Amino acid sequence: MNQQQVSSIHPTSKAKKLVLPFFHNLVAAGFPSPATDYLDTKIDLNKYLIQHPNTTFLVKVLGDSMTGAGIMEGDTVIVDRSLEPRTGQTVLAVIDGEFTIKTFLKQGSKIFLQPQNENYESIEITEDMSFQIWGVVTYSITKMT
Amino acid sequence: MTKYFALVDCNNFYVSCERVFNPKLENKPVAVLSNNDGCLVARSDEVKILGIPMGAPYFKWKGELDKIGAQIYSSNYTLYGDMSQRVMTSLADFAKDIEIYSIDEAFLDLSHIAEQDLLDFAKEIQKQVKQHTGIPVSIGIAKTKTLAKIANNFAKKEVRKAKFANKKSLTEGVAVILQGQGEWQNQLLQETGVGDVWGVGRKYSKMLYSNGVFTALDLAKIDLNWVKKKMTIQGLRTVQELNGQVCFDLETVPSNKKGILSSRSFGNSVTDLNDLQESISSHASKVAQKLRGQNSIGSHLSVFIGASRFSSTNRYFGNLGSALNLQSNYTPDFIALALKLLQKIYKPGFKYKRAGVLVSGITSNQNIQTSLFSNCEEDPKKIAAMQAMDKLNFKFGRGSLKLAAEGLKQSWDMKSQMRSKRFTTCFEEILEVV
Repeated sequence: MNQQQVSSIHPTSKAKKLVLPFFHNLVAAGFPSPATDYLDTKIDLNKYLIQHPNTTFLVKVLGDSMTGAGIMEGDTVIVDRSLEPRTGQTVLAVIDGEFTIKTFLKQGSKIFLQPQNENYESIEITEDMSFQIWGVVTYSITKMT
Repeated sequence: MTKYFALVDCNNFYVSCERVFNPKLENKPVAVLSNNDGCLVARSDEVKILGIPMGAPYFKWKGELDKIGAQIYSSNYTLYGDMSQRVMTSLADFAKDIEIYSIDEAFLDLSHIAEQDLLDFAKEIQKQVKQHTGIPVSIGIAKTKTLAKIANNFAKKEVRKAKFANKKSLTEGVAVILQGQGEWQNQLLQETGVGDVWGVGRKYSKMLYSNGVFTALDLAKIDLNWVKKKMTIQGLRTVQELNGQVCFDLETVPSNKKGILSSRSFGNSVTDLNDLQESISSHASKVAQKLRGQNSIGSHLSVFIGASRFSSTNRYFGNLGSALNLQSNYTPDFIALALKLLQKIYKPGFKYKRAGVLVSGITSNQNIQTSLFSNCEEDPKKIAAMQAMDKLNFKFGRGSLKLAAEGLKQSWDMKSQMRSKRFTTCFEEILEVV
């Protein structure tokens, strides 16, 4: 498919400063500086953590059912709706209208949502439940200080 | 190979946006209110079926809505604008070319898809948009944009009918009119009221009814000279399109300019938010006035403010855009939105040198749909007010008559008491999950 540029000016809430390297050597003729091939831009965390900005959402975690997987209360998780969930991955799911973050397990034709905290029970998804995977959790961000 | 257009539009867009972040609202009655919680600008199917019309004043229907337990929201344009952009970006993957027609509609050029694959392709589009964004869409595909809209309307209505008859939908929100399906095309035209035809505004449908033209099929069969006389060349093109002749390519519904910009550098630097607000209000007012002057309406507004570019301690450029909830050229709407955008990009402590407002997505005034928003927003009083304002400003000089916002200190406190959170644009308001 063609990648189209959609012209709608809509950046994220903070203006981004694009830090560009400054070229000292503008060489019109002769040998170019060997350093010019190795110029790096600064690391942009957005690019690193968010593969598909268009289908990615941020969610705050209030509960502790996934602490065993390293998702702590108060964490912010990055959720990507474009990914197909695979067994063993962490997902944001909706069961009967309620959001929940759990480990997605597919065993044969059965689906389970498994917590990562011994205080919680695993949930088997049955016919009578309304169930959807809202997105796949790709990163969890824990504030340390 | 015949070139096909798709009209993709989101089902009950504002309601759908709310449902993405609150799945409990699925299949429940939901309504969204306009600025200042005045009228209904979006209704879920469960509200529509009660006969509560689009644009109905909220206070009048509050009782009915409370009775059915409807969830009411103040409009959350920040959220809707961001979700709209996500939908459009998702759609762009599928099209050879795309025209964003409004906050929730787009025309796609599908000339790269074989005829026999169109239906399946459309279903793929639906599936991907739903997965990526959570927003359900309806799709109509045909040789002309006007026919694509007819197909889209049909599919949408069919889904709604099936839902309330508790039957499975046959179209599932997708309808295609292929070359050579003349009978099918005529059937759809027969079932479409003339007021629902793209390009036939309220102005024309009354005239058409009085001339015995009720359905789109009636309109398609009318003498072209008569149409040209009564509905101008635009009307003629619409009728030709109903008959399968392409008159409107992507973005060729005559727009005088792609974008209208009003901006100015400040003589003295501006640091105070109030001063910026006045400036932005003034620019918003100017672009609205220019639009009216050329009989156009706009669909997308962006605001920018710049602090000196060359000084190292005073460098900042803020730029943010959003689709208008409703295509318009109504100054108060423009000012309201422009100020909301300004609020998001304003940073204290900078010396601002420049500010401006840009309106884009400009189309002719004739294309306002009757079926949407007629009661409230296309108010003849408002139109008269704007006309009076323009006349006075013309006679006594620009800026003689202004809206209070432009020149007086004003607190911008829109009554949005029931607004949902700005889940995608405000970190403090992201979705919270147990």
